[in-house]
Amino acid sequence: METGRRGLAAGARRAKRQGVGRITRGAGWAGAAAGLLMSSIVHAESVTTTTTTTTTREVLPAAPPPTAEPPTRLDERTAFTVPKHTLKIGVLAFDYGFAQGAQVGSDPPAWLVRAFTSVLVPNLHVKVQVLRLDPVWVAVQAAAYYADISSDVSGQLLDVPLTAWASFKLTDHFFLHAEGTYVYVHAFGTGNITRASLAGSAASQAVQGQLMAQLQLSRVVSFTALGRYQIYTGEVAFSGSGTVDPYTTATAQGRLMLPVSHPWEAIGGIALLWKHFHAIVGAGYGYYFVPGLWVANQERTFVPDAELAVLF
Amino acid sequence: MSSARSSAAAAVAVALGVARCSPDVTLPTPPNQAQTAALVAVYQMPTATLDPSTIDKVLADALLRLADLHLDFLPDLISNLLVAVQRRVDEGGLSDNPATRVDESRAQVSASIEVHRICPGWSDPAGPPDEAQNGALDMTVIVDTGRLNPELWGTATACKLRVPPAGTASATASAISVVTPPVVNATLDGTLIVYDLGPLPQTAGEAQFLLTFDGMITIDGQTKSLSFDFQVQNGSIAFRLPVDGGDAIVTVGSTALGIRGANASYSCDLATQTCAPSP
Repeated sequence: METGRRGLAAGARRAKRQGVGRITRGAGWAGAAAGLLMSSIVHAESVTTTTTTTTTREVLPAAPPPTAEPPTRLDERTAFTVPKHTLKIGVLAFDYGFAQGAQVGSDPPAWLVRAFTSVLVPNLHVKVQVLRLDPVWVAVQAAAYYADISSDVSGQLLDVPLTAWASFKLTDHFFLHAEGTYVYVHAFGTGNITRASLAGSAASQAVQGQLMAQLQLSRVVSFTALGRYQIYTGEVAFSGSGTVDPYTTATAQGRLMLPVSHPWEAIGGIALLWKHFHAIVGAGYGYYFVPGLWVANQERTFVPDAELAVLF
Repeated sequence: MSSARSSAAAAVAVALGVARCSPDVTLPTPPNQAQTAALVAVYQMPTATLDPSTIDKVLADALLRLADLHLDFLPDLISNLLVAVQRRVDEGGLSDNPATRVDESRAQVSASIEVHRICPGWSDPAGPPDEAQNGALDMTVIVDTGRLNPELWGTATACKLRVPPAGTASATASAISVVTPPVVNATLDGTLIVYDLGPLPQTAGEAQFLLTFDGMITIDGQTKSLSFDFQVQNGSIAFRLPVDGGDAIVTVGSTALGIRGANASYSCDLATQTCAPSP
């Protein structure tokens, strides 16, 4: 009843605003009563009338139905990429989404090697999503790392990891990301081939596979567990010739070999993926693979996994 | 889907292609490894039994043998070759010491290095050395799994050299040659095996090696077919002398020869050509 009275009063106010009241003005109580009656009747009609009037007078767009913002995808070690026209500045990689499902970037750690050795390692990678059929995504990446290992003898090293990822959304909260990587390494000349090694390891021809499970608890929080295994380890072959002194020339050919043929790592972690900030922290055990280069350390140790990135 | 399949196929094709292109590097096997190792052992522990009654004959044989060894130029030739090898090995960041302890947990290099060295020649004309005129030495060095193989081997092809070296004013004794020679023009043709007894030298004076030579040496037009070995270590030269079915080791000094057998050692004065037991 109370609701009905408020409705009647409101109807009267609306009727008055819309001129309905003017019909009853000066007609006495009977007229007023009739006006109220009319008002209630007009109120019933004015729902439609009012809507129409408002629409035509204020020209406001209809509010879109609230839709859930798509969750931020984990774009590292998966078939997902940095969103279009987004710059991602991370500790392990700088990436820019230059198109939908396509990104280009570089790895700062490889550049930072220069701070500890005399070797400069310029590098670039391009990742392209070749299949986007929810719940399956496939992406490929080509990267290139170049190192000048010349000493008195000229030598260069080229490391080209070629990677393919397939990401599967098994449920709304559970993803499986499979990865296959072929690392092609070629040495030009001989140089000081030992400068191609880092902490006892070195880039070498390799085939690696990785499987990562991602349990997405919320839009932001995911738990991850991954295993990586080097299926094949090759050798880096090198050859070259040079002049030692006016009387002496020398030709060298050889290979660089790694003591561990099948390094592996297992890592568990958490990924916090806000729209403009990504944080990944994990820990595991095995042979640490240098991200990007995918060069495996030659000793089994604690394996850290961390990435912090800001997205613009 | 078709695009994805073709991309994946292309990636696999590229991977297989580059894998097949990787060169297969096989290290050469040093010749006469066992014999050379046995020879090194003989220099450390001579096998001849020396009889005091025949030591004078042993001395006479040693002096005859000494004339064939060409210690006036061969030690320097090999020492300088090893210095050049050391430079190249060092530039490659490779081990220059056969006794290097290899850390098996680290990446290791295996390599073979072919060193081609033009010989000094009989004269020293201006300009770059002329290989057609001077001949050359070709040596092979291998580094196997991070460790320098002590055995180097190769050939001398019409390798000409002059003693004293062309361009020097007088016959100056070299760092390790003990015989001050007259001026000679020599030509070497044959095979050489050099066994490193220490790290590769940075200077000729640091060289420590055992040399076996099998071939021909021509001195001033006279060619002689020779097969011998000698050792340079710690600044002194020693050679092997067969004695009664065993091997004695003769150490060359400027005024005396030392003769070591399995049972005794003698010091022989070159002036008087007499020998006396030495402690």
